[in-house]
Amino acid sequence: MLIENVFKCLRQYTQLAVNSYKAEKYVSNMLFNRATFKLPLVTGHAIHMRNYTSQGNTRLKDVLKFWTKKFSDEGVSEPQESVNLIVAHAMNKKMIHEVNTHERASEDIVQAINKMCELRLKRTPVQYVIKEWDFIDMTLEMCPPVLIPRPETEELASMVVNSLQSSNVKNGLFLEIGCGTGAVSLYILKCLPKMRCVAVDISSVACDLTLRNASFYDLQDRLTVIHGDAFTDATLSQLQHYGRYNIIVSNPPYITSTDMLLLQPEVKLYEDHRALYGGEDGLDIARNILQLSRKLLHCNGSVWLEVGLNQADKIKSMVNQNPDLHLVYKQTIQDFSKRDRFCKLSYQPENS
Amino acid sequence: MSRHTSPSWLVRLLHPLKQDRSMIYCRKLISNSSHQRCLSVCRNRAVLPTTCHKYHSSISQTFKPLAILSTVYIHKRQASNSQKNTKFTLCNDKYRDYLNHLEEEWQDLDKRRNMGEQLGQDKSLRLFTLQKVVDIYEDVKVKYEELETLSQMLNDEEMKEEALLEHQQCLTDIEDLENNLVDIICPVERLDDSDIVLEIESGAGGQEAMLFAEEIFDMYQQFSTYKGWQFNVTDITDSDTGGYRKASATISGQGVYGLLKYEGGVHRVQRVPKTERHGRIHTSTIAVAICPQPSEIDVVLNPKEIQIEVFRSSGPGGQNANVTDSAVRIKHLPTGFTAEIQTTRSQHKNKELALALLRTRIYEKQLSEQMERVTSQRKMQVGNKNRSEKIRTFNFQQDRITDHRLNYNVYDIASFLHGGEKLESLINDLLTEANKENLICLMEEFENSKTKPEKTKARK
Repeated sequence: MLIENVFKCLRQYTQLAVNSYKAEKYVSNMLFNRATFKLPLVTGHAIHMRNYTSQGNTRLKDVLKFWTKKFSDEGVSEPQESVNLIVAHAMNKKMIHEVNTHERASEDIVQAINKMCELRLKRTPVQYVIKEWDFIDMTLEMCPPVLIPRPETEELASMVVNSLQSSNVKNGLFLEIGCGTGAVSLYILKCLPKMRCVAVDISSVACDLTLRNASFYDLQDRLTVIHGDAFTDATLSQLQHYGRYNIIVSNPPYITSTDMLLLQPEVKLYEDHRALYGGEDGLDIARNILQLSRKLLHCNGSVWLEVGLNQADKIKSMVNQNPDLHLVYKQTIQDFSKRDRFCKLSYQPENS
Repeated sequence: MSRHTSPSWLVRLLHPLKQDRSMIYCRKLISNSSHQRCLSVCRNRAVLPTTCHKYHSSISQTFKPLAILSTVYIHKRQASNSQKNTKFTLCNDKYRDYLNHLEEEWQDLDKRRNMGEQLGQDKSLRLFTLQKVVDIYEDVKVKYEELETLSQMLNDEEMKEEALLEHQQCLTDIEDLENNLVDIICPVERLDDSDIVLEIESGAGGQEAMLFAEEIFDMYQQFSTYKGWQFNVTDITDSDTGGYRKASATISGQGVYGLLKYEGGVHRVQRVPKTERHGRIHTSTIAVAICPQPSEIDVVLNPKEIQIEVFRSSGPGGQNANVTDSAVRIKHLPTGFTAEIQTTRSQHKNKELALALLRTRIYEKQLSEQMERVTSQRKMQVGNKNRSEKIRTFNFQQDRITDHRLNYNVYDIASFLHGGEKLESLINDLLTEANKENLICLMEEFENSKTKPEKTKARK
């Protein structure tokens, strides 16, 4: 079955009956079956590829042209950008405009590009193909299936830094729940050289990756990484061992069950579902974090969360309905596309 | 004095580098049977060797074959140059008046400081610059007094020979000091140290213009390396057949804007393009823009007035999507300016860069409005930073570079395009020229301010 057909079916079914159990089952079966995505790349391009590699000296431009066409034919998202990034990476650069595309590439480089592009054809995210990505001004190693930091999360990190810089807490301690690649924690540590950080993640691959990225920027001395589920008593006592925190920051999984069915193959097939799926309404983890905050935060400590669309209001009403959380909902902040994306809360216990 | 000795003693007086050339001029004058004139000139001007040299070089305009012989030297054609030079000596009454006025201003400020008054930042800076001006001015005045006594000694037959040498020394000293004075008397622009955005766009001439745009872009890149500046390419739009349609870069370092501010404008190239079959010479143009980068305080952007467009912003975003396109376009609603950046893989970083670029654009507009007001009064030749004005021509057939503001030829394009000393010396000459123009304006303003109060008094 061709990939286009899968998407067509998917669109039809989801439009007709999103709530229909049958359709859900059908579509998810198709999506979870990796074989469907692998199908189209079987033979076609091997022949074409010979056409340009057989000439010996290949210009990068031709390679770019070939793979861009291939990707758009196969329905790979962002065909042009993907090829550009891959070719730039093969030439040891970051962006295509740093590369002279009129140059002739050596056989090794063409081979490397082809290898990476074939991975991309299988819908591997570019970030996993080139094994690195930029987070504001840092370049971090990426490793499947650890969640790739999104541009929205860059905003979260820079907002936390800004608020810390304007407040007096410059040498405090903060906690990140679900650190993934470590992007948020590392950026804060890098900007504020007196802060210390505890990062916790349920995935051991993520913990290792965070440590690797930390040592690359020489930040490991101020960072403690704990492997475990923050919502179990064992891990909680470990977290409490470091004392109370000034800030809890988190980009918890917030995708709802319905949205899980509509994910891009790049996300669905390659990224850790533990970093994506947030329960029926997408707020399971966020709720747990809010519950946890009174056990971990200093008085007047704050919680920063990234949430999905329409979730900020739910968090607000939840906080207001549960006074025993002792949390005050401070602010909803919009992302670059002007949609509610970030929540700021403050822990204020009574008469303390 | 015989006809052979005249040039040789003249040459002794001249700048050592320019000896050969002046010898040729003098010989030419002599062989043109106008040697009487030459000799009389030399004799009359013997006490003023530098002026004599200037006279000679300006005469040389009439001998074109010789001008070609002197390709190694930068060759000034503009006769007005020598006039301008004489304007900024103490012999010029107006200039002396102006300097006296500055000295009074300095004394006033200095007195106020000594009284314990708190001078603001602007005043303190003014005092600081005036201090230097006044120091040199005092030196020059001392030298002029010395000159006076020496000229008296020249009349004395016994002392003549010794006095002559010292007299010459004194004159060169005065000239050096006066040149220095011109350089520092002009107020330093606050912007001179700011970083810039360099934008090069190919204009008329299609392919050929694009190729030339690439060469000029490389030239500035090499010049930045030569000066130890940081050169970051932000965007290059290249054409399929080579060359750049458009290229931009940020240059940061000390005094970047100060040096490059007069590079903005249209650069023209005349040569036989590689693509030309019949060997015809084409004329193509490229536009260079130099925009100082403002700090965040200079231009404050109201978040409500900007519209950020992120490519592929449809869909739920966040964790739901994997997006690698990090390009950001920001529109400033009141001015309609847009800035589009896809320099880095981080969208956040691109956004910051785009905001900075937008600020630069707005700032440039503010500056050019300001400049327009000033230049319309001042009619400056160099200082006019109009983007559409033709400033320089590269003629490959004659291997010549002409800067239209200096009317001034440099030869050897290849080494000029290396962005090294050649470019630097041209830029320095431009700056000096601009300083002089500035000074003329300042003096005119001073004159006007002097006459105005009188007029108003008269009206009363």
